[in-house]
Amino acid sequence: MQGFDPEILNDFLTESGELLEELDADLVELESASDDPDLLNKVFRALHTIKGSASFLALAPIVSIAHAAEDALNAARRGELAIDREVMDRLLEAIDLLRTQFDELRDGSSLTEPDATLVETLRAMGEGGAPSASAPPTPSAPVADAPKAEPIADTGDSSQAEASGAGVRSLVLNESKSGLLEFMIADLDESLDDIEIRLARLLNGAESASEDAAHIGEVCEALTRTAEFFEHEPMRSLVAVLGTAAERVTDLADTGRVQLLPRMAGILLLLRKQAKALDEGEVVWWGVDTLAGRIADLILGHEIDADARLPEAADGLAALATDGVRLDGADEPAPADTPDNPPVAGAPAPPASTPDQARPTEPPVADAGPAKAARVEQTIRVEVGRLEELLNLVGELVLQKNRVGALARQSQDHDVLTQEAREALAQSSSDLDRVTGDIQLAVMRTRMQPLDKLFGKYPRLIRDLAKKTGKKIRLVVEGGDTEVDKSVIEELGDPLVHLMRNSADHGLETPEERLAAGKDETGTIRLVASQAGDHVLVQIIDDGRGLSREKLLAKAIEKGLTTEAEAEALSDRDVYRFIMGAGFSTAAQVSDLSGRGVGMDVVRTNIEKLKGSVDVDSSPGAGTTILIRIPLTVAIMPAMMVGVGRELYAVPLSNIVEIVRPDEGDVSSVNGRRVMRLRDVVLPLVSMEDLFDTPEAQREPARFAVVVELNEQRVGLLVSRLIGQHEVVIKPLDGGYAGSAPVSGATVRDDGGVSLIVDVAKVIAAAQESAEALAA
Amino acid sequence: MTAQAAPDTPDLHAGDNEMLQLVTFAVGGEEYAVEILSVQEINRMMELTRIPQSPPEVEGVINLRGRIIPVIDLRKRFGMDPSERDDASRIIVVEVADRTLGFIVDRVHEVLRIARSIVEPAPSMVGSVDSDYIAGVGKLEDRLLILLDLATLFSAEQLDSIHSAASATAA
Repeated sequence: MQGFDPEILNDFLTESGELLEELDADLVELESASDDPDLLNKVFRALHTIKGSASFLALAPIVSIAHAAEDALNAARRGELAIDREVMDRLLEAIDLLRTQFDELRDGSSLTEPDATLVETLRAMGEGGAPSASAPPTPSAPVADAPKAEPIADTGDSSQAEASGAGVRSLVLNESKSGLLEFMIADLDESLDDIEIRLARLLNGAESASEDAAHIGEVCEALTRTAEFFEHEPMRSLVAVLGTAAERVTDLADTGRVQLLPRMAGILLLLRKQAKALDEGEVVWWGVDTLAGRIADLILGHEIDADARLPEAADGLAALATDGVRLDGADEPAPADTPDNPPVAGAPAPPASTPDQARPTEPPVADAGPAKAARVEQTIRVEVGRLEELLNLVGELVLQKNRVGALARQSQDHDVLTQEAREALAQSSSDLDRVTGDIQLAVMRTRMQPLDKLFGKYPRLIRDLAKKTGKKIRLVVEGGDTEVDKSVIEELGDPLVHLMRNSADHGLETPEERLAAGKDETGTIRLVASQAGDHVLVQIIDDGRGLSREKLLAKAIEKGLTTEAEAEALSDRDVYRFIMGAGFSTAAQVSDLSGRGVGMDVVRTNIEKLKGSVDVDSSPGAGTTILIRIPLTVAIMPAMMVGVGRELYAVPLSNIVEIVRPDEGDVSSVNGRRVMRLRDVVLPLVSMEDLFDTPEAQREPARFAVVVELNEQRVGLLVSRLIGQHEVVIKPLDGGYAGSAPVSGATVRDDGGVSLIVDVAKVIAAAQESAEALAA
Repeated sequence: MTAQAAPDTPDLHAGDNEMLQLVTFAVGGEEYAVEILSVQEINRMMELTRIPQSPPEVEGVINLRGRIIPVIDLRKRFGMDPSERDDASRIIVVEVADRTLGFIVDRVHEVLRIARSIVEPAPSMVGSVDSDYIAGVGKLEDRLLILLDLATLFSAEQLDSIHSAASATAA
């Protein structure tokens, strides 16, 4: 396991890790839709890719379990195995093991060997009674020494072609792509010529070796993308192997190099044939496992078996012969049985296929169809750090833009500039404003990810919960394509798991209870996401028993959160909100919503960290709805600048409900607490000057009440001035210095000064505390 | 870096002729110095934004080209009487244990090179400053130079303890 490039390992972890994440959800979906061939193919292909990449890196424990699971799925694909609960349980076990192994790989610890029984069971499922799992039916080909390719080494071509021979199928493409095929072939030929020249130089030991190798690597990289675009898997894997080999070949000792170079030439040969086949609109599959495996060994600097060693000055064909690649697939003896075949360049290119005979090898018909299209999406991976840097720079840009805007406005009142210059400045400033806005949006988009990234994990969670609780649960996910900032995805995961668990554990009734209540015995949990303006809404809706006002109140009174006298007057929502108080849900399971010692208050805290809010609604007998609201991004937000004394503070606009100008008569004092009557509602008031210890000398009369709301609680913040609305870039305040003030960060104003951002959650909490202190 | 050199006071007068490059400044009548490597820049006084309910010696935050950094009043940190700011007041911006912060001094004197060998370990009390914060004392011909140990002076624990003490008395 030592010795390979950490970068290759990282790529593997990222790419295969993503596949693994999707697998969970897809498998659970498969359980209910086992006749969906696309889904089955997708799952199969994901496992196949993981296995292939793992074998390239010689990660045997991963290969072993992935291969076993793949076998079982392959049987299912052929219709020889029905995916029932038992099969699914084993498959999920395999996925769990893979996940553990990935974690171990990440930590650099040694990999857990898969449980032999599990591997056996899966393999037995793969046998499925049919003999074909490891020996697909091949027509009467002279498979004399058909390489029983170590299953370990396979780089991701079709499993049908895996064990031995080649296959041919038609390339299925949609119209827009097939129109481009012609260009691809021309381009391919050119690229292959290019590679050939460079490879010849390498073989001749030219001095420009490292440059030539690097060039081959680049060409291969470009070809990989082309192959991906045309969904040409065999070509993609060949090119990938060649590219990797090229990157490494100059690092190798001579002994390794003479073994590797002919094999590279062999791949070039295969690519030539592939290009030829493409002219006919066909794709050839070869069993290149052994070849790829040996190349991988060579790259890693391993010795290869004595019988795999090539003689001095071997060429591509010799390499192919040694590594058991039968060039023309099923119908002809491999022409490469003798090492003294013509050299690469002049290699006779017999027709890549005689289709009628080759087709019976059960080519993987068109299974590169819809499921695969997802992978063709043109993306590049970017380190998160770089995006963050970019976002910071955009933050600076927004600040400077605001300053320029302010200067432009000021200049309008001065005669130092000509009328013309002033107009130009104003125009330029507004252009800057627009461009900056666009850049800001574009940069923020790069950090956006669909909520499916999270939601994809929950079918599995619900399945496990259903199994454990003996309940029947259906999960309905909607709006998973809603995109949110990456940081939101990260923070939202735990709260959602907690909420779903609550719904499954406590919200939904047992099948018997449900039947008795006249409901469908299967309970439904709906996870619904949607975007509303600059916010994202996520709802978790169950059709369970609902919350019990009485029980919650009893608990709240016991906890001293309210009194019996007050309880009467509380609205249902106020009562439900108790479940989100700290410590409320951790004790004896009084409420119907509560879980494993992680309280709902954690949910609330996490959501508030994202400047979001949580709300609960419920109707007894009919179910409970949890509504989460989160702003789209947390780095830049609109805010109202307000004057507190002579200082300026920023209040997040998302929390502001309205701004009123209280008359003397509106304000009164209840229990020593200042309140105002606002349209029949009594609104608690908070003096910002008191809250922020404004020095006496700086105080000014409070003329406005900024009404802020969080989790349906409102208070009025008394301020002396309103400055206006601004986009503020949130900067953190270093923990040690921020003290306990109710501020969540700071921002730089148009004039270059610093303003603190009011933390509405803390302000509301402080207002309640002081109210309680006064009441006591 | 002062942060590394300071805790091992013996290293400071290891005997060889290695030179220390220091920035010297005055706070409340005493002359102090910090190693130049830890100093990022020296600024004139600028607009400070007060942070409510923060430790008393935290004077506020400033905008340092888009970064927001806290500023400490060194007089308050040393328990001296606060003085009025004047044209000579400066904010010295330093990096301590991966944090950037500024501190206010009465005036900045000069950049000085002295031999490591003339720096001695701190006596238990120097001027009005607790010896914990002192990396050593440099004896020049005509005066004493107090080398500050920034890491101890501005460590997170220090600030946290001050902070919790402050909130305890407030409660």
